[in-house]
Amino acid sequence: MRALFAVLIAALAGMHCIGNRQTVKLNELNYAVSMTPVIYGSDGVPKAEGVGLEVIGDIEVSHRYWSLVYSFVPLGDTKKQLQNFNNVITARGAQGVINFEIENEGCDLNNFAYVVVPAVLPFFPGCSKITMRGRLVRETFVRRR
Amino acid sequence: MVKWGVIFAAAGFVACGQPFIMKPKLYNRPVMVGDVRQLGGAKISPDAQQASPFSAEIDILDTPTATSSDWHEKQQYTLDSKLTASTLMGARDAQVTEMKVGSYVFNAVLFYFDKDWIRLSGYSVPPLFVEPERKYLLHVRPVGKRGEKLKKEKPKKGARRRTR
Repeated sequence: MRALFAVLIAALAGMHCIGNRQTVKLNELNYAVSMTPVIYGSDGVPKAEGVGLEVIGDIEVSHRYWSLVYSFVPLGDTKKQLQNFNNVITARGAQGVINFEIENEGCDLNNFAYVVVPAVLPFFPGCSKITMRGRLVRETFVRRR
Repeated sequence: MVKWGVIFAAAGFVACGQPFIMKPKLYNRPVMVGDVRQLGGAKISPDAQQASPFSAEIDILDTPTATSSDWHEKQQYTLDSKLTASTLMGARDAQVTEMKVGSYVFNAVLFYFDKDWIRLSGYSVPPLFVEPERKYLLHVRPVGKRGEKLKKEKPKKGARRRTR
């Protein structure tokens, strides 16, 4: 029994992971957001920069997320970050976002954590940074000849 | 032991301290994110009968012997390929509803793994905008020299119309 316990402890000490996983539910977005430079205008016709669209700036919203129990228990969700994203669009007077992207970056802490003894334990938190960025756009109406 | 740990940690930091993004590179149609499909539009929930789900994933793994520095070359068109296929070469629209991201450092005494992954899922739906059909008018010029008018054949004087 003791031997088994020792093996379990050794396995836990030797093999563990630290990090974070998150689900970004994009349905919380209140504005039209496209991952490409093309977006549908209010008339339903595809538009791009210079062709019915005016770029008014860039948007970037970052948030650091933490997880416990070898990343199986994420702390918090991305609702707040998406809300901030919506708020920035509203504040800047934009109507949508093009070139949208999500960047995932593991915290440097994860890379060093296994040197630290408590990282073996499940309550040692893992972390990652999620960044959402894109270009804020506004519709311009072009006269058709 | 601590010395080795620091070396591994430094190697890990150098190899794995890069962020990962998944986005279309060549796909030139709108790939809408969330439920709003057009500027100033309202949220439209997908029609379950017409929506076809799709998902794309990139997986980046670092080990002590192999780094993920070339992941971009190998996997940068993963999403483009998936979008092209799921939208039937652009005949349907792509809507992205969810993105899952993960970042782990996994340590097995002598080995060190760093795994990052991004999974994107959504559905394809009938297009919002259908390009109007184009008509081409073909101008056919009669055979002959330029400017040459076609002469009408006059009936010969002596010829009679045959009537019965």
